[in-house]
Amino acid sequence: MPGNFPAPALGLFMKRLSALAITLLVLLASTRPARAEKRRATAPPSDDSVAIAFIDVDSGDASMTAAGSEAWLDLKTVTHSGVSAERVTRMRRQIGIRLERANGLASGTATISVRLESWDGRATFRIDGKQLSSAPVTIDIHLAVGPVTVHTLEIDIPVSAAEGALAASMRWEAIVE
Amino acid sequence: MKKTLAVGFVVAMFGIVSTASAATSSGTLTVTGTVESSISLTIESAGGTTSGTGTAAATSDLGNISKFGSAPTGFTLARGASNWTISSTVGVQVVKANLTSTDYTLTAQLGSAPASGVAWKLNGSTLSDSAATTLTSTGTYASTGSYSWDIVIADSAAAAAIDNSINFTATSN
Repeated sequence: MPGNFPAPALGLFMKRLSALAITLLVLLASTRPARAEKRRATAPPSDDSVAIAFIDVDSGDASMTAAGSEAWLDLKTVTHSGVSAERVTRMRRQIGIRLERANGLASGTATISVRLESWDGRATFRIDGKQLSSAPVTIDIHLAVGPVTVHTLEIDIPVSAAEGALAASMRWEAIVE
Repeated sequence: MKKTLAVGFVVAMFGIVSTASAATSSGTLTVTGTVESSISLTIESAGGTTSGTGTAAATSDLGNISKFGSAPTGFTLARGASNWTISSTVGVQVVKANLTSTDYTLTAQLGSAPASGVAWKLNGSTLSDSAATTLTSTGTYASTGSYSWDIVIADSAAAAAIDNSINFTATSN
């Protein structure tokens, strides 16, 4: 078939064929790390993996129970006690978190985001002034691994909300690049 | 040729980006509690030199009062044949929170027995220290209800302090 082409057209055809071959090679190369990543996913976490640990920093406030990456905040009975002009009952709690590396080294930073995993709609929740929803809200883009950082959780319950049990679950995520 | 190379370069860059790993870890904070309904009562206004309005404990100072003197601040004075009356109003507001009730009942009761010859009235009803008097059974939340307030003093009453307190109680219906 190449014999049917004049010489300049044959050269152009060959160049395009080479470019196509290079592109295919690059595509093949890019799929290899994906397979490697699959292998890593099934392997145990590496030593430099990072875990979120909740820390109870509200001294004197026994409402929070922290156990590693799980924490429970029991507001107990919430009664509106503000002046009549306030249409919400607002509560504030300090939440401490620490990023811990499995290898014990305190190095690097991570992006922290929080989202509401479940909630009953009675209240609105804010972390450091940012209102939470089911979509992740970035709290800190450079949170250092190692030290405890304190974040303010605000919970607003409108006076129009029905009385009853209050429940919400927040998912905190740390992404280390 | 240039166009083809450009495409190849973009693909190569994409391949490099996809190899960068982002380790993710997560934690869960669970919040629980019980929202309890409540109502709140405040004295919004009252005759006399009043302090503490907007709270549940207001104080009205009437100063020295007499039948033939001038009416205290915020009051009017009416002289009768054998008694005299100073009249004003008391504004009471009740707000609700986390409650489905649509109205409330408001009662009033004197904190102590009135001095002899002195009658305390709200909305025309004479108050006592032994039983509560209903001022309304259909009070509207978040709206200040105004209740007429009269103190009737007999000419025969001794010249003495008439101090007393009126305890308001709101109950959701």
